[in-house]
Amino acid sequence: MDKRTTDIVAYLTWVGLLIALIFGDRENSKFHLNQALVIWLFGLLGVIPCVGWAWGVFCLVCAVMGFISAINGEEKEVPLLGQFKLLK
Amino acid sequence: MKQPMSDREVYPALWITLIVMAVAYLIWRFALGCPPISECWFYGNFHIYCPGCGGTRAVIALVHGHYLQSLYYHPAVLFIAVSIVAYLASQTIWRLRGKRGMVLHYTDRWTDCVLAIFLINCAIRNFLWFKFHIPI
Repeated sequence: MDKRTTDIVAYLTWVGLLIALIFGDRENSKFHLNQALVIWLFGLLGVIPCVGWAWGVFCLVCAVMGFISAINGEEKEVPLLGQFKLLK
Repeated sequence: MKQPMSDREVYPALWITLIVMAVAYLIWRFALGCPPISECWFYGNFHIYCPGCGGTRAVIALVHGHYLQSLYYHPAVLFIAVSIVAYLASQTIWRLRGKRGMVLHYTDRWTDCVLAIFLINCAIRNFLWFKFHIPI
């Protein structure tokens, strides 16, 4: 998979992220792979009733923003979650 | 070069999220038959108010048109609802007019404001509860 496809696929749920991590261009897509990983990891808190649901909606907005940014071929940080770096 | 998010991403993202939430509401209302909403997991386990406590009641009050009651239960709900409606209306009108005239733009400061409201509200609620035993 080329860089752009990897960037886009990473935001398509956990399945997409796993596909991007296994088959994608890990070296050049590091920014979006990291951002998608952070969003989906923090999104797991969405299973907590009430406060978690609000957080889940926020993570959904972040995932869509990251997805659009990847489609446009840009590297834009999502609010709050964008500053976390898990992949070195 | 990494940049912050702009209207190019935020505007469609908000519309997509609203559509997803509308579909989720329809599934909850008609397919699942309005199952009861469970109480706050955080309050149930630790007996302290979490930053989101009161949010569900605030949303219900807002839907019924009780704006002051919604503000009392959780000020962030009314703030988020008003700012999102204003932002989407402003952006939509601006785009329909060929990107001319005044328009509201997204900045990351909005997210910081929402976060601050959540934290201040949580601190005040817990202070009132533990110091004066006033439940909100």
